[in-house]
Amino acid sequence: MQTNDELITALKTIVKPYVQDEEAFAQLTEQTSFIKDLKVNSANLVDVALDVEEKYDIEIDNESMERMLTVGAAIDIIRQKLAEK
Amino acid sequence: MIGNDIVDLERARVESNWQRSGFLGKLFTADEQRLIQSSTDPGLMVWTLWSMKESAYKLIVRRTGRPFFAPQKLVCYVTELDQHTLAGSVFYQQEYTVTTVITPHYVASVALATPKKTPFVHQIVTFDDVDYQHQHEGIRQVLKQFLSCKIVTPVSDIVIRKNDIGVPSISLGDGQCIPISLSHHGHYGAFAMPVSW
Repeated sequence: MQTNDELITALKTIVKPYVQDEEAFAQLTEQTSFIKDLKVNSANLVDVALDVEEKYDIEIDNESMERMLTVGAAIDIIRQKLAEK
Repeated sequence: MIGNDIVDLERARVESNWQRSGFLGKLFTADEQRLIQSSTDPGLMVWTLWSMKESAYKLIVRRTGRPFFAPQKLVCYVTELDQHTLAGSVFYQQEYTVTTVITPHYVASVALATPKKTPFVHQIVTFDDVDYQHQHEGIRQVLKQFLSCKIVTPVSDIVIRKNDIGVPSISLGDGQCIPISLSHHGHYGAFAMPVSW
């Protein structure tokens, strides 16, 4: 199982192309909100979900995506889906 | 209460590939996907329906105070559609009436809770600079100037705030509070507010 730091690093690489607030991105923590803090366009949040699915070969169901608003929530979802594999 | 959203169509083409595998399935219901696929301009229909959902979502978050990301659960119904406008609704626990302005350059939606026919102001602004911060400040400046003229109050007495979940409103010097909705994307910005409050 990957550490939180490894997951955050991987997630940062995925999110980076969609970020519109570089300052918030530089200070990213698990509490950081994709839309509110990083100013990710909400349609691009779907790309984040699709990129995560491709990278980890998991499926993020709609119920999980519904709460995928912060870095921490995304990490929880990735962990949960990897554990279910 | 009111919610709005604007999509710069050129910018959307650059930022999102709606034909990406899995993309439509995460955003739209089966009926909405059929509507998109049968449209003469599927890309335009994607962003029209998306802006409907976004405008309703903003109103819903204002009401519930709870952000979420479940675009499929906000179900679009199209009542009337021509080249320039769409009239319809978005259903999420209750019905929201949505009107969308369609142009070759942008689509802009305003959502209101049905059946209230609250008269509202909806203004579109064009930006030369597509920088996020520039738009963020630009749309606020235009809104303040608009309101300053409308209610004859100095711009300095008009403060736009966002609460901790990002829902904006205007506070006036005399303590009045006006619910507003702001949106900007690419070269375009829009605001919507009730005519009276």
